[in-house]
Amino acid sequence: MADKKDEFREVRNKEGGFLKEVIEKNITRKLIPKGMSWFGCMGGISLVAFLVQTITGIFLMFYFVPGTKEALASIQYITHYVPFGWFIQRIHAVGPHVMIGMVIGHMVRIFFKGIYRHPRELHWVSGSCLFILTLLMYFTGNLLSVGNMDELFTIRLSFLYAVHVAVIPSIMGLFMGMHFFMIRKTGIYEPL
Amino acid sequence: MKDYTQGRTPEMLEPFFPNEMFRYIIVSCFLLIVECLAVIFLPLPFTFMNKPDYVPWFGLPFYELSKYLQNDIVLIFFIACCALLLILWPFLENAIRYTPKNRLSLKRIPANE
Repeated sequence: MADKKDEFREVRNKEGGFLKEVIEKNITRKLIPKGMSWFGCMGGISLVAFLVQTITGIFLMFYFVPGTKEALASIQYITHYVPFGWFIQRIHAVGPHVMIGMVIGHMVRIFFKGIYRHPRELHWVSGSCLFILTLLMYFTGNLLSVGNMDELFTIRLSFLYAVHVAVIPSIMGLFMGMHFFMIRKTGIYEPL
Repeated sequence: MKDYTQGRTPEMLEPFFPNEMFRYIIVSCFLLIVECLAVIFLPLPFTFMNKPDYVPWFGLPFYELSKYLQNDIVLIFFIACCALLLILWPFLENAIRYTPKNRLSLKRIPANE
């Protein structure tokens, strides 16, 4: 019986070995320079804001119908009949302002501290592409909302909806991967 | 991947977990509280100044510019140029630094020096 227990423990350690090593190397045993600024967290907050937008957006996708006539009715249904729908919908409407504010703050800090200089030029390029994509997300989302629809608005809503929920987020995911990989590679900006 | 322990004594380092992780959790909670307070207390659309509802606060510079540039194509071209300038700024700055006129007076300054 004891042998079997030892064998099980050995197998478990062997299986968990790789994952354990990755977690220890990247999280639990990782050391960083002391004295990191709180303002350095603005990039991370932008990511959290993006995740909030993604989660609330997925919730809204279950109920939103991208039709010229149905869009208004579906948003009213979310706001008035779905439990806490009003809250999720408002978070999704307010979130972009917070996210764009954080991204602008992050970029202004990087610009004035000169962190974009060699060897971090491509961080700036990927970051500014992400900023432009964030603005595009805002504008496509804003056009989807009923407040801006009128008789002259001829772009098909389903096309705009696909761009808003699939095309731009996929490109943003690629750029984010690039951005984070380069940060891991060259390291964060270190205090003097 | 970058190793921060090189060239540093243990006193100059701190653990990522829990110190930095805790910092991120605090600012994330702060963000969520700000969003919830904004949802509860701010009416939408949020108009704090005299502007059309469809212009967001971060679009105000281009809205002001659109009053002077009547031609839409010129305005779009200008916005595209601004976007390109933003993306290519580090390379443009390098090019300015390395022109023969500036070469003697300016030296390359990396970010972490």
